[in-house]
Amino acid sequence: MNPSTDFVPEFDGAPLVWCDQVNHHFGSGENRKQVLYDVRLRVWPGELVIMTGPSGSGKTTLLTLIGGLRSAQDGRMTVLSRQMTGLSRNELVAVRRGIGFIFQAHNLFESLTALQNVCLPLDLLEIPKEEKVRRASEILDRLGMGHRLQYKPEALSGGQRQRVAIARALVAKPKLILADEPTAALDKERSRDVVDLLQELAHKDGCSILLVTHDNRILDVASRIVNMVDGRVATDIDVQNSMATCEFLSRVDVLSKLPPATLAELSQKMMEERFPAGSWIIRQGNEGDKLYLMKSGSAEVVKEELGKMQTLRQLTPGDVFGEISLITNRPRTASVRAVNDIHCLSLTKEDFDKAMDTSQSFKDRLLQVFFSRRFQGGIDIPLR
Amino acid sequence: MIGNANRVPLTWYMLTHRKSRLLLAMMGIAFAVLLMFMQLGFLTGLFDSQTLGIRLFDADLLMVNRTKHNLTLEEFFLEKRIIQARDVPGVARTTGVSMDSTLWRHPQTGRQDVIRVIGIDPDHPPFLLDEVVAQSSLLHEPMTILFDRGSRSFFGTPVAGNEAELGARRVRVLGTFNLGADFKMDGNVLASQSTYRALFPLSAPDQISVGLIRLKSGESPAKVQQAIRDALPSDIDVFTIDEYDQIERRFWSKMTPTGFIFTLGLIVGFAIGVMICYQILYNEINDHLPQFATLKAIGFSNGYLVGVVLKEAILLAVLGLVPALFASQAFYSIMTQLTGLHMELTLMRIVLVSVLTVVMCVISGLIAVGRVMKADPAEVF
Repeated sequence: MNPSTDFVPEFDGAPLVWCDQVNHHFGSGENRKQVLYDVRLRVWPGELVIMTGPSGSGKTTLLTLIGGLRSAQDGRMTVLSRQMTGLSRNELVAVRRGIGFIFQAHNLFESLTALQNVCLPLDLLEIPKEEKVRRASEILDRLGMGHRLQYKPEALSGGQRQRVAIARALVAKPKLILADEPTAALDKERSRDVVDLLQELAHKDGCSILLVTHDNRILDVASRIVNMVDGRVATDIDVQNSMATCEFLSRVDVLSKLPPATLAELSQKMMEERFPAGSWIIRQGNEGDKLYLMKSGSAEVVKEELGKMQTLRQLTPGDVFGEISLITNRPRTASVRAVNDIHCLSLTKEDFDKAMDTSQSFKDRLLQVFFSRRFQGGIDIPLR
Repeated sequence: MIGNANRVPLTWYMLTHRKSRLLLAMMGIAFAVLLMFMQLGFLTGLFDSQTLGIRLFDADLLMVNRTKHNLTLEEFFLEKRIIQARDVPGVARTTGVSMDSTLWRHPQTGRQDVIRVIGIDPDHPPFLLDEVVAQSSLLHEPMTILFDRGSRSFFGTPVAGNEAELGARRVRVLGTFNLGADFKMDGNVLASQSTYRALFPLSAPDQISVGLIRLKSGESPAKVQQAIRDALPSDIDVFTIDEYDQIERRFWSKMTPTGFIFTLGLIVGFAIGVMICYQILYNEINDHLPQFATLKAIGFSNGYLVGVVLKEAILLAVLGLVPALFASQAFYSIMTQLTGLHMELTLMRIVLVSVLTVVMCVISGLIAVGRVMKADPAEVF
């Protein structure tokens, strides 16, 4: 279960890329090898998605399918509102024109100048020559190559050649940009220029960018990070939301000392739940099966004691509740009722226990806490 | 696509990027073109030389023995037929020519070679050559000849006044003219009929090789030709100059291996050109495979890439033609001097070889295109 992909982000409109149950094979007969298994992926306009994974994980293959460089075999794949399975060669060519590709190798024509190389994709459009030159010069300028327009690749450094290749990919203002290690040949400053430009295109022009990379200097620009392993999507993490979740989780005393990796894992395992106003999320006395993180709405903690209902406190977005029973393995000490419509994330006891088991320091901390609580005279108060 | 100045002229830049490679490619194509010109030169030189004599005859119609396939066969017919023809309406005048060959001895080296002797009526010069017309009446004097300067050099270079040994007889050279050698005979001399009979005592005195018939002005050659055929017995036949030219050419191209060999040579030159051009284009494509695949990823169709390859092929053809033309002209001049055969670079022949060159390059381009179609954009990742 992956809440992140079910979760509709702030972007509106239809996704530019929509993959569902995509399978792909190479070879035939005895040599038939499956390289993609049941791939599920959405990319909305304005998103910058980073794809990572070991070599052979299928991420490059997926990129070629999305880009129309290969015909999709099995499953549902829609790119730029076009169904991608079973397309003819001409149809594939038409799709490619709306997509910008940035390859690892620059693949520039040695016999053409930087400006001419970047003008090439514009030959597909019916615009006058001066306009082509203007657009090409502009994008090259933005990438810091304005002073080298008339140079041929042999007179440019590796990083400069790559920037020309990137300019070529972007000059026709594609709505979808697919990039394979675009910053591999660039130094820190130039890498920053490139990803800043890509991010700007995503935010301002609503382009979608799918970026395969191992460069951890540029992770901060991602709105989502997809990890592929052995042909499957292992994780698909909405960065902003996940980071917020982890941050909330880390505020919980018990969880605060957990390493970020465990917190990230936990946040991934959390499921979305909604509760209408007035419903009970937790009932006093029930077995503790989940903990909750409040995302929107408010709730109140109510304790029944000696026949009387007593409201202990209010819960607001960002609060974590219900973790006590998970930790103590005792029944719920209080109830929680939704005041208005509630949207929260929940984590099962099983996943919680697994995460706890792996952390040594947590166990110590836990014992500490218990010790101090017992010291406070046995009154169970919710942990903050 | 070709005339679109709006687009980046990728083909031109690709081809001219490395000068040394371009030069090598041009030389490769030029070599194949030169081969074709050479074979064409031999072939046409063959035909032109053989038919030169026919074209130079001072006649509208030619009369020959019915079985004579070409001028080189020694078939004779009765001289009186030529005389009879004079009575056919439309005929202005006729004259007879005898041909045979014998040994000529080089005045200095003593080397002996076979030479053609053409026996003529000194009052009726048979060739439309100024020098022949001017000097033929001198041949009334017995045992005199006019020597063809166009003969192969091993005959020597006799001039007026020289004595020479022809057919083991002593003759005197009264002058020279320029006709030229052909594939059958390396040289020619002109003599009067009486000198001819003295040189060839065994020849039938009433028989000649070719009859030259001049028509009255305004007469239709076809009509008179038919009239002569009707009037005279069928042991002879009459042809117009054009018809006889054709017969001669057909003979050399069909009945002898020479024509076939040179035509085959032309085809081989063409095939070599295709292979050379294909090799060049194939290497060019291979070197640019990632770039071509990238173009496909950008969204260029296969058709565009095919266009690039074909344009390059045609450009190569043009660039290879230019040096080849110069080399061929030089070759033709040298060959004409060495062999006495007429080799000429006419406009028709230049056009023919140019067309063949372009076709040759386009064919190799089309074969090479298969390679470019296979460029897989997915592999570029």
